[in-house]
Amino acid sequence: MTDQMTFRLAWRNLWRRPRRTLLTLSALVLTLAMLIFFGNLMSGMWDRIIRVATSSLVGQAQVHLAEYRRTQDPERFLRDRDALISALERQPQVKGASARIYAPALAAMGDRSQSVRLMGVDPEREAMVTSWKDRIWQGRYLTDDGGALIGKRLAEKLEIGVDSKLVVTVADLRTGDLNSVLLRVHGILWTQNPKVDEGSVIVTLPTAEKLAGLQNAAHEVALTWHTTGEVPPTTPSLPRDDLVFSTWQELIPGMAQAYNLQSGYLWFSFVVVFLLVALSIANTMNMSLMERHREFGILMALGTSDRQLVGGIVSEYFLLGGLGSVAGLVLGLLITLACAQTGITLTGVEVMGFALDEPLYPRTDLAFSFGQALTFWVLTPLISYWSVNRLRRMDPVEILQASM
Amino acid sequence: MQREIVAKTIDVKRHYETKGGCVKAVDGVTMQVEAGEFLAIAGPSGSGKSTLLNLLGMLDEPTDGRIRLEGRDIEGLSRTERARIRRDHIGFIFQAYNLIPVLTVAENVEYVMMLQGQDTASRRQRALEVLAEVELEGKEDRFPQELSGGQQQRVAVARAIASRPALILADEPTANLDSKTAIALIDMMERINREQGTTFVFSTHDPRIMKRSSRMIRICDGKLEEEAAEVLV
Repeated sequence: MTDQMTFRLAWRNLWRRPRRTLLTLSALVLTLAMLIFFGNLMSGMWDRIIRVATSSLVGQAQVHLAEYRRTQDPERFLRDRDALISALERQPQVKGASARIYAPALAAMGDRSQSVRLMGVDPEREAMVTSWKDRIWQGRYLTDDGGALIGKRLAEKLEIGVDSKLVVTVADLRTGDLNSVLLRVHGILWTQNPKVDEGSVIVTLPTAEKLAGLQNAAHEVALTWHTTGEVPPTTPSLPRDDLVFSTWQELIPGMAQAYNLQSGYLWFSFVVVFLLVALSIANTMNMSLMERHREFGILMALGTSDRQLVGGIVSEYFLLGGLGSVAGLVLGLLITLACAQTGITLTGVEVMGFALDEPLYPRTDLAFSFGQALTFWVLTPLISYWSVNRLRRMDPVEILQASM
Repeated sequence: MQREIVAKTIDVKRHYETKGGCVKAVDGVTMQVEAGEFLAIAGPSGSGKSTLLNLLGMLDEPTDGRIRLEGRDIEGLSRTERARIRRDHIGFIFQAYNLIPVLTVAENVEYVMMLQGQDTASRRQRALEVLAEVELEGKEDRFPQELSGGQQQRVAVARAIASRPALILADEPTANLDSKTAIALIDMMERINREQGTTFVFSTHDPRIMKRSSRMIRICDGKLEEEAAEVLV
């Protein structure tokens, strides 16, 4: 029974009790719409967290001396920095490469001091990797003429502002001698990454080299890709064997793990919520089947096989699932798009240490949204199949006599 | 001239186990239906005539005995095979019409042909033909609930004959109809039987059908009581 009449029959049966069908349909549509919206909101939130994490410091990948990656010992720096940067920048997938020097330091202002990490960067190259240039809270971005950038929270702790002077003391990485420099604060950063906002003093590479006693050296090279995906199409080739390449997932494994878990959590929530909707569908179905019990006996008597009978009923729920999935998908996407325009403010909320002080915008993840809608569509007739399958065990005469 | 035997029962029994003991609804019935017959199975309520009809129509399975349909022994067939035989070889007319309420008159008539896999155009054409035979032209797009009882039963007749089955089983087809409508329906079925040679078997206690039948068998307490000698065809 696979022609238009099957679907015509299914469609008309579906609307025998319009109110009941509409109630079930509403449950399907609203549940799916909310699941799609919630999933897209979570996607937007994680996009944001990952973007904050990668664009505030880590970049999309990094290159280190293998020893430094393992020990984080500042004395394990890589040499021939300029050659390495040139080699990396020549690779097609690399959009930006920024070398960094790190050294433990003490920042002092009057009688206030704070243990910090000195970070030397090339301002122009760093602007290709991080979003610091756009995240200057006060003052201006770092330039080649010296000066320093500090995080907002460090500025609050030291009670300093733009154009304040700051004494930074660093141990020479070769000799161990202490070197101090008086720096003027050019700008205050607000990246929402505590490592930057609370504990870093950012200077130019020459200033850092001078303080740490290094030349043409770096501790890491942060990279960004031309592609917007999480992983580049190919891992860049490294010019030397003593270097290691790490993606942001390897550099912040906790976040990568949490990201993967949230995806599983979303699908788990989907299954739980769908099971609740399934109860509603099964209830509607049982009522409908009871009402039409005699009719099934007649259809069997006329020669409808079990497969055709079950197929006909499952078709009703295929149509119901289809209607609910399409309407739920459209509604879910509309809510997502509406919120993507206005954003949702979650002031004071922090996820994995990253503040969500700016409005959160859901990301329209079409693959996820269509996936959920399609799953709804497939599962709805499957539930009906499970309910209706008992008809296969009944004889037409048994049904006809029972319903007389 | 020896006529083809459409259906035959050989010592068929249908017993039910109940709390009160064994009920012998049909108890060793041997009979046959020949092609072109207008056969009435008569008997009081509870005599077993509907059970016998259900057995002939493969809606039920005998406890014992054999049933042959168009020369084929139907014992041990699967549910699917039984459904296919019902679809292709047997037409049913029920006392309560039993049309599918969400299908139009024409779609009800087309239903069995659709199960058989006939294409839309040919089955629609055939549906219109049989609706004309049962004098329901112009009603093809109505829904059953928009028709009178007599008209609904004529749709049921049209549905039963549309796929040209070898045997039409009618269970008390006039029981829910007023006298005038019942006579008109009997006239119509008799005409179809006469003109097209369609075989009808009725379970009935309507004397008007008994009178018009080509042969009548009586059943009482599940056993054949007598067979009327009068054969009109």
